[in-house]
Amino acid sequence: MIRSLAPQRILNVDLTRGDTRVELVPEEDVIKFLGGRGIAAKLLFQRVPGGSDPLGPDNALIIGTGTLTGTGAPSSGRTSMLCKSPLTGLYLKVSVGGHLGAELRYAGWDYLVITGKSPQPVYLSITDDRVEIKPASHLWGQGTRQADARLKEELGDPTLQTAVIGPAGENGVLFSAILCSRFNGASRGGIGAVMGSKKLKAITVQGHGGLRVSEGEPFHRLADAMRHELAKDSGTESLYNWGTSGSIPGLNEMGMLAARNFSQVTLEGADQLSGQHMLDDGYLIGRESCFSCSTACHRFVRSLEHRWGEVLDSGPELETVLALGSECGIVDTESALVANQLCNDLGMDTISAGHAISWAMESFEREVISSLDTDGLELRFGNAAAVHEALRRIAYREGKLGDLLAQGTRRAADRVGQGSHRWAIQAKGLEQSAVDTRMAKGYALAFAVNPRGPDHLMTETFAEFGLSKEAREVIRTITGDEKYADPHLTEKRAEIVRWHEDVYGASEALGFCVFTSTAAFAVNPRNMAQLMAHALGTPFDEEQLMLGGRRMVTIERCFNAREGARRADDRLPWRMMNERVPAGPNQGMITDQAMLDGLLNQYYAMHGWDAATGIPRAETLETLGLLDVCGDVAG
Amino acid sequence: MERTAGIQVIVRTFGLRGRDSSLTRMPTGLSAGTTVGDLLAHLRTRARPGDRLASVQSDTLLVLVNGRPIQYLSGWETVLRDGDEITCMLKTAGG
Repeated sequence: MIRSLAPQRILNVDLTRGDTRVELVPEEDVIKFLGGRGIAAKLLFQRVPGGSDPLGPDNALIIGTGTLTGTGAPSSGRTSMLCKSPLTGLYLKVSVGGHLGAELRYAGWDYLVITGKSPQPVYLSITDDRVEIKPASHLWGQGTRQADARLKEELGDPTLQTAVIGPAGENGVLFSAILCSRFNGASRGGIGAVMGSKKLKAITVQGHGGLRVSEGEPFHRLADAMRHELAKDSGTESLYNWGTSGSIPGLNEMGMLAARNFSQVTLEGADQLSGQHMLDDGYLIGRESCFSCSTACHRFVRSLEHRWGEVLDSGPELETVLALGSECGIVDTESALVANQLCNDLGMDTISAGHAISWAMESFEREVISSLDTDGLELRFGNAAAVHEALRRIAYREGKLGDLLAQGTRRAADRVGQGSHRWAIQAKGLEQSAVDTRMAKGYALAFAVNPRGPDHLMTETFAEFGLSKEAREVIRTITGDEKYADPHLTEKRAEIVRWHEDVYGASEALGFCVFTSTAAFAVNPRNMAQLMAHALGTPFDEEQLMLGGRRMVTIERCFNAREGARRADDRLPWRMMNERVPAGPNQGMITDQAMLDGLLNQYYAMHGWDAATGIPRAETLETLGLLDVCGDVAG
Repeated sequence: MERTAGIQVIVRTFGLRGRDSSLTRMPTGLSAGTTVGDLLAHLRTRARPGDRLASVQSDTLLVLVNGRPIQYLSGWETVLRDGDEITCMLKTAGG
């Protein structure tokens, strides 16, 4: 069946009762919340009661496709997955590429809302309108690759799309992931553990329908123009050539490379972890695009020497080679590929896994923990074999070390004590991604207020570096002057962060990859709004688009406020706020509490949030039309 | 320009000369007052056939002087000083 982009359909699945229910999204919500992450955020707020156990039946796993996902809009294959995070106890959204979202829409579904808890392992099979909950005991315990292959074989369709957890998700590792389309990770915050807590091993999707935009000719003409603009962006070229890890040499040269648990900002030999090295030395064997993307930043790699085992896998991304490579003091390409493959197959977030291990390495070297705590593992910086073994033990929660680190760095530091929170690179319970927030003040603010914890995957302020004319133009648009394209400045950071929040949220709600709107800049609020108007056949402008982004950011804030989060939770890891950059061009820089307070004051005022608590005020919610959604938590 | 009285700098390139996926480090002598723009022009004249350096557009390059992007200095007009370390590579994005 070929259908329009609206009305949008929700498939509710209750795994306790084993039943399903179909529901329509109110049409006005598509305009107000844009779709994807926006509507999913509203559903999460409404469906998951405050104080719910993240690993209990009341938590919901919500999968929201972008409103333009499945159309010809460029790089629009992203899908949002939401739940209450077991790692942080707060709001969690992860975004995943691949082809799952488009397939879901071709099957006739825009949202999945999965609640309850099955008594036995199951998988959810969706073939158009035929939805079945099937036994999965035979898959339980399998790695993501094996389970994916088995499902395709069983269902007789090698092209079906899957979302699968590995042993880590089954075992409740608090940073376990869901692997989608075999190679695309929905990774942060323990979303895999939520799926595992419901005894849901996998979701399979086969769709045979299609989507029709309302005004086809202008829609596709504009989409084509946007593709051409994207192709011209230097960022796009580098993403194709080298993938995200192409940034390694630049970061190392600028003294911004996260190394040895953020205690260093450069690392000799780090180029071995770069996309350039993987291309030139023959590790890269292929590239692949997500749905409707012409950039193809996704990598396929192989090992050459097999020193740590044979690798034939996707990735690794920049954050992965930093977290499992330089942060652990390792600049060995083969080791990084093995660690990446292990995380993918076991189903774990590489960022959190790497930082949990690098915290343990620093603790070991400081003699805060010993080989008695690591079950004999010599967990020192540079020990690649120890990293690989630690990953396996974490996924199975094996021994003292595996069980300790499986709970994330915050809980591990709480348990070990002895001041080890000072080198636990986390805030709100989430391990920080490898951006040094001491020297980039927009990033510092964005990370501190990020509802899921400190990373670049809810808001990215890359433009503040001003490294391209497009980036400087973005900063000029926001602030009125491109002189603010300097990450060391604190002025105008609140404006820059809030604008990027809105754009990031809108991009994800429509299904766009944020690389196209906040790393490259060819996708922008104006052309996103125009595409939306053509897609829906209704007037829709840039202001409505940005308001949609603002609404989802506000709902996310209210979700956390209901869970008890307050201003004091808007912080950065201890090391970022108390230890200065040790060397390099940014030596001595820091984002301390006083500086962060100044940034937060500006940011809260701009949002209309209470300065003391950080909770949105009632009048702010009224202005945004959100009183009926989250008015109960107004500050 | 090269090896005349003046200043000595270190030039590092990445990904611009054949298969240099590790940093190529070149001590280079320059005349006093040389700017980053002058240096790039000089490097282009020395590029080998097939080197990306010969044809790459300037605005696609990330150029650092002592680790600082030239956008925070005086751009292509940044005047080099004795002992400076200059890095040239293609811009990258995404993470």
